[in-house]
Amino acid sequence: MKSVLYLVRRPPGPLADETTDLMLVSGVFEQTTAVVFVDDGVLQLAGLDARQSPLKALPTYEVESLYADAQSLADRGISLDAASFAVAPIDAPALRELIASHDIVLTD
Amino acid sequence: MCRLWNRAVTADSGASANEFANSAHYHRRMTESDSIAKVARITLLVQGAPRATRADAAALAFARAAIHAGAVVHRVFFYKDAIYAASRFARDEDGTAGAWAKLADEHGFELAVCVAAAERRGIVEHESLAEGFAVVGLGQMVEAMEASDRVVTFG
Repeated sequence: MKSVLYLVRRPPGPLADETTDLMLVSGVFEQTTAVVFVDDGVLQLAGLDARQSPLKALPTYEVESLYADAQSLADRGISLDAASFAVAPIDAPALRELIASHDIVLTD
Repeated sequence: MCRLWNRAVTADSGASANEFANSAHYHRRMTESDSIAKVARITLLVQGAPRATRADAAALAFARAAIHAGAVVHRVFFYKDAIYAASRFARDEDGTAGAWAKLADEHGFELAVCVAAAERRGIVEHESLAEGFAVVGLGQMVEAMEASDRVVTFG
């Protein structure tokens, strides 16, 4: 199966959840699936413990390569400590490498 | 080898995708790599709402340009608010549904509308879907990724 990177740039909401649904289906079909939250996408990671989000199902579907752009987090004052699952902060060169190393990059 | 066809391409917004499809850069790359383009099988993932964004119009322009350059379209997958582009109720001059159906018929590719996204928005097969479009599950998007050389997102 191909490797797919979901480049998530939109804030939380119904449209963001539909992208998450597609990630889950990628996971079900055993594509090598990674997710990176960039720009307002990192807002999806804020206060996750306190609310419902389909993102929380990602580890269940073996979508465990989760990243967030460190600068986007810092700009918005979001700490990853509150997240319900492990998301690794990455810098711009690592983000470039992530994009280059996947067969398919889907934006939300 | 042409870089455009050598890796995944994503277009962030309808407007920028359209500029991309019309840019000299795009056409030059396609010309340089005719042999690659001829065998490239592509899938388009369209997500932006028609009229609110240029996603469906940009995707249509891209599909035409790609076919013109020798690419094969595997599937166009309408997701999120882009499913409204498949509505049979838009006037022809205002919507892209008729143009999509014609292009898909001429070139033998599938116009797929996500069943979950459609049902959430009250779009139902046989009732509100334009001719030429089919309702499918999200698994068909995964199948399209696996079957295609490139996947391009719009909106």
